[in-house]
Amino acid sequence: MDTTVERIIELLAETISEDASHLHERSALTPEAGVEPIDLAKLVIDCEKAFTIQIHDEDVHTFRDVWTLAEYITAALDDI
Amino acid sequence: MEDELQLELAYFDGILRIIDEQLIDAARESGSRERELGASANDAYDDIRTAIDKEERTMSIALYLTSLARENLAVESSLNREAQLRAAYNSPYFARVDFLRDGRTRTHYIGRFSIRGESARDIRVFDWRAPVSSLFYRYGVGPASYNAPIGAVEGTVTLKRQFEIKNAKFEYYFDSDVQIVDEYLRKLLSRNASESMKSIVETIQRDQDEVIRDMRNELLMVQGAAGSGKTSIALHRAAYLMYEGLTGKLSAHNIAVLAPNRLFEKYIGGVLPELGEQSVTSLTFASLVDAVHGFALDYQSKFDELEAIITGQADGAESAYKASEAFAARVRDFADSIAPQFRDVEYLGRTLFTVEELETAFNAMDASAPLAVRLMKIEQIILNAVHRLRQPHIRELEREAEKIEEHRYEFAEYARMISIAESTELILHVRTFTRLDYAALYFEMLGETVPATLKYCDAVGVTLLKLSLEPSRPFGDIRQLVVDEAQDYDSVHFAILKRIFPSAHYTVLGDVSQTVVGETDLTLYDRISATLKPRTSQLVTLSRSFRSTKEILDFSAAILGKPIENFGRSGEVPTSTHFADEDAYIGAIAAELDRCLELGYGSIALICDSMSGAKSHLARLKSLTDVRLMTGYDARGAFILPAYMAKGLEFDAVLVCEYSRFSKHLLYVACTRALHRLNLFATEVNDGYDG
Repeated sequence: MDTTVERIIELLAETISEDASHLHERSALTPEAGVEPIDLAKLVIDCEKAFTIQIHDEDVHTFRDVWTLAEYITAALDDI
Repeated sequence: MEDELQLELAYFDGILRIIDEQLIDAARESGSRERELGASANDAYDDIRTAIDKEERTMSIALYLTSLARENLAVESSLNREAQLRAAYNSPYFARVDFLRDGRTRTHYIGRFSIRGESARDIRVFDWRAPVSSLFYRYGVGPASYNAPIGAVEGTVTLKRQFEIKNAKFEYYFDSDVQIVDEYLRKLLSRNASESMKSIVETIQRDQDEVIRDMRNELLMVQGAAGSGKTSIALHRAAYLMYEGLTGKLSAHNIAVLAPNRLFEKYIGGVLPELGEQSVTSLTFASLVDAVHGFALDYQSKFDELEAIITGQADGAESAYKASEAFAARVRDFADSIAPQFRDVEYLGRTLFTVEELETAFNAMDASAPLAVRLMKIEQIILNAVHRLRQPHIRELEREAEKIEEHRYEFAEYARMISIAESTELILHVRTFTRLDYAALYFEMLGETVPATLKYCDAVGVTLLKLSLEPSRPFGDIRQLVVDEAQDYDSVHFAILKRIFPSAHYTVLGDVSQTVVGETDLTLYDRISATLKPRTSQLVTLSRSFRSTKEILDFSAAILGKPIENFGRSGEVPTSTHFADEDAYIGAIAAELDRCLELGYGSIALICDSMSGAKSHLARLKSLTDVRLMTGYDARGAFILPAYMAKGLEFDAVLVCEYSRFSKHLLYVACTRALHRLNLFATEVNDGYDG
């Protein structure tokens, strides 16, 4: 889980041009936190590539923060 | 006799030597196992890191986890054994039974843990839970039998001996030809409540032993008078079940204890390891509610509800009704009547499913499956159709985006963003009919609006409704559930238990006289049985009370007009006194408290009818004497607490404050908490209790 969180943070930092050290597992994935819908879409595409999984678009609205996305990815990896 | 003592001392020395040797071995073993565990974890980590493809990696992880779990277990059991041996060294055994069978007499020493000599068959001390140990608990000198794995073993008890061994010192022994010698038990009972609960392995009575060792009944119910040792029995039964589990039928993870408060966790921490076992799942009813709702339900606590009822701010009849068989049936009927409210599903500008199509798919499903499960399947059918259309749709969106100048360099992200927005809208629409809002449905059944914070009884009701529509096993495969203070629960609660623990055997302990609000009677046990529907069940009544003096028991029994069989330990007669003015009343309570401290009582409780009563007494008393509100369960010192929190606890001395405000059952609960001394005080007059 820790490595999943770290990897997501790397991808998110790149997407929103933020220093990764400013991000953490509870960093929100909302426009208020600087993550616009287009950034979220990019993060989803990047995560699919990085973890070799498929993320269903209808699930994306449940990704409140890095942690909930990490949980989803962990579950998807378990299903493989 | 002198020779006999020499023989016993020699045996005792021999046992201590064995334990000594085994302690050295155990310490060495647990040290080396810990080192091994560390080393193999490193090896496995290397394997995983260097594994080339995903399949190999998955296999390495699986192998690693399996071996880690096994080694962890080995370390844990060697550490446990070390702790057991240390405890056994101080007091290796407490009894001896000589049993004549087939012309040969065998000697069995009985202790908290088994102690073996050189070989596995050379048992020097038998665990109190071993089959042969039941001879000690159930028989005096004379014909006897016990149930061994091969069947009943008949013979004759020729000697019963009890030992007092403390801090590895042999103090004395005595022989008895009866069950547990009353004099010995009386001596133990007259000790103060130094800790809130003690192990009773040395003094288990025959009827208690039968409850502790019962494996025949799927449902074993125990109606036990106050002080009859119900909670002790619950604990020892859990320990016995784990012992039985050593033969492979149960593991600690399959045993749970449901109790009204977290007291059991303390006992399990403090008493059960002493008995030789470590982890039993400890539950409160609120923890079940939270687990079923994923901690998403906001509701008042059980204590808040009791306080509101006792202080007249809430109606006790409402919570009684919402726990009843009639209400359980109403919830069930309502759950059965819920019909899905399908709506057309649109995606990409066209109708993917019409209401009729969804209804047809729903009606084709197995109607015996829970509604929530069938609705989830409908959701999956819809999503499968969406997923088939989505990839070509995204490609199309990408092609469109590429044509737009401003999205040319991020057309994939742009297309995905559009798809996410469309899919979010779709799923939120679908879930309006595939997901059930249990709180909303429950209050719809009641014809009320959903409050921000639910009453405790409604949180329980919503839980039953949810479980009726959606299976939930948050605690996994529990095989034995021990329920303490069963009179706190009724049909609705047991219906919930049945759904969360469908394959469990139940041990249910209660006292229908100890209800905090309202009244119940022995028909409670019929309702429990009707709800749990066991194949075999039995109701055992324990009528002898061991906690309080004869005088306290007689006084308490008179409140309910029902006799309680007592053990015959004597003490002072309880008094109940009225005071015309407030100052005299508070002064008398302070004086009594000082007297209790003078007498050396370590735990003293001032029991009030409610928490607000407790707080107002504290405000008036704290300048006069050293007393505080009881918050945890470390019952050393003087505490003020409401009666509903005192249930299940015991104190050396009890002062009941403003006793005329108590209902009869609540007063009975308060009075039966006292071991040695009980006095009641009031300024208000209630003819029901006076004269």
